[in-house]
Amino acid sequence: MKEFNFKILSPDRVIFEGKCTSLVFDAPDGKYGILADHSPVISAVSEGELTVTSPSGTQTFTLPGGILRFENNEGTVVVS
Amino acid sequence: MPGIKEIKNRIKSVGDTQKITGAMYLVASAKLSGAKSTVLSHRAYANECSLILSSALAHSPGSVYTQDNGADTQAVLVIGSDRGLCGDYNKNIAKFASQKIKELKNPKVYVSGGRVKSLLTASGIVCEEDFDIAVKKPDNETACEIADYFMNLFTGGAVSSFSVIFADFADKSRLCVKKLLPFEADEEERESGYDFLPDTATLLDTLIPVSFRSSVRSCILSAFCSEQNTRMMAMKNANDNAGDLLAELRLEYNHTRQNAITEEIADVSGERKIT
Repeated sequence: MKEFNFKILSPDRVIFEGKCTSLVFDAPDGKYGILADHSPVISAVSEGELTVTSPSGTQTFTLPGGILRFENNEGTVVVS
Repeated sequence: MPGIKEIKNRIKSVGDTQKITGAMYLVASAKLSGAKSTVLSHRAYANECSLILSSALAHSPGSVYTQDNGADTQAVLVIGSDRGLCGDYNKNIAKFASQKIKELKNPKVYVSGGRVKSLLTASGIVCEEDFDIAVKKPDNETACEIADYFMNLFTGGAVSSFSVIFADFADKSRLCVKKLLPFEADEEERESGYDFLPDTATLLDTLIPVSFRSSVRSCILSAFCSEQNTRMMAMKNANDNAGDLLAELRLEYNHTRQNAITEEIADVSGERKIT
């Protein structure tokens, strides 16, 4: 599967930075998934789990909420 | 001319002062390097927040966060230091701030740092609540606390704008006024083709506090770095001056000591000739 760059930023540090094939998170109106070549989007991220899938495995992060921006196969979540 | 004992005492006292300034230099440089790494890790977060915010604001014209709320007072936060021994840092900030504050209509002045507060009060500026916590503990919780306080003032209609006066470390510690509220919408961002989920209004409810806290944190961190940098330079200069003074005093001590010895020898040999 095609990969894209993804990072999770907190005010003090980079929580995750790397390549992944998909990510799933809780948006205010339900679960939302992103694959490579997704159209540009800015979405609210609700409190809950964010799952990052990469060829090496799956990682799950519990976030207090935040905002996701995805454009040109670059995804970033800023944690609130 | 001072005697040997006086010079010796002076050498000891200057040496002790040099030890103190040396220690303070090391403390300031350690604090600066710690703060610098926090600034770097926060920069990516702050940049991302402002990028998302400008896109979202450009797509929500008429947002309350980008408009003047009609209040007749303007809030200003002056960030200085509550400790001395940092050269003209506080004096320069107080001078710059009092000039800028006088240009504002009905300013409400909030201060971080006891030294700046006393200088501003002396120049006839009435200061509201203190935010000493910003200089004592410049972490994320402090920034959130301060940001939430001013956001409540703005959304409650008590103030029409909020600016921060501080020394910007990223710009060679130059003094500046940064207007943080109301936000400025970037018209060019309207061309960006983002989908906003669930909608811009809900997004802004989450985004505005996050972004505003991040901006306040950037200012506090920048001011903290500037303060430590100025203190480091002041202590380095003091340390160098103490070194020069010690060298001069040691020379004077040796001259005086040698003169005393020469005089004594001359006296002894003179007495011997007479007898």
